[in-house]
Amino acid sequence: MQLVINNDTNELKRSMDPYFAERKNREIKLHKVHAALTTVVKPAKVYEFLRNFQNVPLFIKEVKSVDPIRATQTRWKTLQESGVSAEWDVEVVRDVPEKMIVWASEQARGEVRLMPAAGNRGTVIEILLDYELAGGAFAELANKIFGESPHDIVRKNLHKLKAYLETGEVPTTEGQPSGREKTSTLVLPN
Amino acid sequence: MKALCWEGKYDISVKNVSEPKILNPHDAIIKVTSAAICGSDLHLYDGYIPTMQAGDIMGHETMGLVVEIGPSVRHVKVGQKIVVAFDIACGSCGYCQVEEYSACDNTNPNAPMVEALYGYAGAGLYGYSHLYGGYAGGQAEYLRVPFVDTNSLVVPEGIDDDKVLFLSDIFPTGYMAAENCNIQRGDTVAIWGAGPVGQMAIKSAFLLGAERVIAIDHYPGRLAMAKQNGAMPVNYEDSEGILDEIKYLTGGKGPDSCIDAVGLEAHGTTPIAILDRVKAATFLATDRIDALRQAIQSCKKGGTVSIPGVYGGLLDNVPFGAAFGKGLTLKMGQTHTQKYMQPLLKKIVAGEVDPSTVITHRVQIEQGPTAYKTFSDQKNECIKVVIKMVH
Repeated sequence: MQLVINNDTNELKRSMDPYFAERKNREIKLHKVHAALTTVVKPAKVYEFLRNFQNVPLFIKEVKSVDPIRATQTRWKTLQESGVSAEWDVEVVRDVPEKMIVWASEQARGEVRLMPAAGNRGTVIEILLDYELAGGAFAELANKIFGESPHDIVRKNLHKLKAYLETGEVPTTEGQPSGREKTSTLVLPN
Repeated sequence: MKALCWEGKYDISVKNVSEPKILNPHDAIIKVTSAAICGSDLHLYDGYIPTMQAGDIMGHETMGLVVEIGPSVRHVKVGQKIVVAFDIACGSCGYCQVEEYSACDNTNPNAPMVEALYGYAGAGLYGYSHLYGGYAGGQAEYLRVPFVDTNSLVVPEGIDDDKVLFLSDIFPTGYMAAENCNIQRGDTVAIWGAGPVGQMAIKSAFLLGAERVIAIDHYPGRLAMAKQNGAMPVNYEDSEGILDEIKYLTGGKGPDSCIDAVGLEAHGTTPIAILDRVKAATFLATDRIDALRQAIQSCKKGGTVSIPGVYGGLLDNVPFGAAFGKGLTLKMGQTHTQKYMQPLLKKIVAGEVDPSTVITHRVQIEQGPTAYKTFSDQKNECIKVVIKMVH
């Protein structure tokens, strides 16, 4: 038996698919972060939630506020537990209802793509983030704010988004008791 | 409140810590009435599970009175007594929708850590390391229960805690293990490990129509309990060759299904750590791997090997050729506890089964550290420890 991997056929298929073709035209390799998750929530509801950036603080606690400046522009304010704060303006540069939101800020360009999951089982949410536009400044900023790499942040926040969409909360353990509390004391055996 | 805290290998403390608060809208707080120590807690005690942190509150088999609920709780009411499932499920994701609760997408806040290990993360668990979400456990006077409507069973009034406490874990775990065997009337089921889960699997196999259950262990005390539960006890230390023995006992045919209620823990947080731990565990715990090997080797052609015992990493020398050659079915995984709580409660209420017979020790929380040591060192006499909270 001979196993043949035909890259050309694959490439042809991709070029015929408008989704892949478009990615190729935009030179996808520039995107340093990409991640996807599937949620049971339908595309219309996901889009409606995400298009209103003021919902972002509901699932990313470091984002303290998102205020509208004009129809396509918002100002984001972040505050980390350590007290490091930052703010920047985000412009929506492309908006296709139920399918895609592309945004840009001074340091980064990102997009959310929504696709119905196979079998109409919800939505595939895909995030692409290109932070090389500002020569790594975004990565530095992200690290300052979140203490992690953009890749980790995107993956983590995508999980939080999915949890919020599906349950209305982001599961957490922050604030629960432990024997590490400064006020905890040892109980001596009876 | 008083809580049992993991401080390090073989080191459990009783500490006064702050009481849990409602952190999310679907949470409830319970005043714990009874909490059990699970065999799998011993893997934490023995230091097998990475990502434990000194001060973590132990325990995942818990029940108690609801004292507070969050604003989005719809069904559970303050004042009700509930048994809490050991795995925390959101109730809404694609897995929860099809009752695969332990595969819940949303409840492990440390999912990215697990993804590095397994590809995808399952549900968070109480008191079972930060890999499994880092949730504070229920061997404490109070417990926060996330998504309480999904993760609890309301106990009818007038039923003793001891009868229903094990709906939190080991009864559903033993039952799902037996259910995974697809038992047909007249079947013979062989079960490795006559600990608490093994005992529940014995009871469950009979409930599901098994004619004969063979229990394999090396603690006479545990085998005696297996016998009381109706199983044929086999002490592998007395036997010259356990595989021959089982073949002989099943008329040369082999058991229709085999349950590995022993398991092996070999976790790590990075791929390299997995490899290190697996290498270590391979030498330290060969008898444990042997349970799975024997189950696969013993099982009849076309039979099922069901694995409720916990495995963490990579296993050496699994007789996969035997599994393939005989066309075995392998079924495994964390229990979808929530799916089984209500139907199994009915069996308890109807008097078909009494899980409380495995309890050998009842203690107060102050005796927790001693109870862990007893459970770890005296497996023959100590089969199940229940902590009774005195408020």
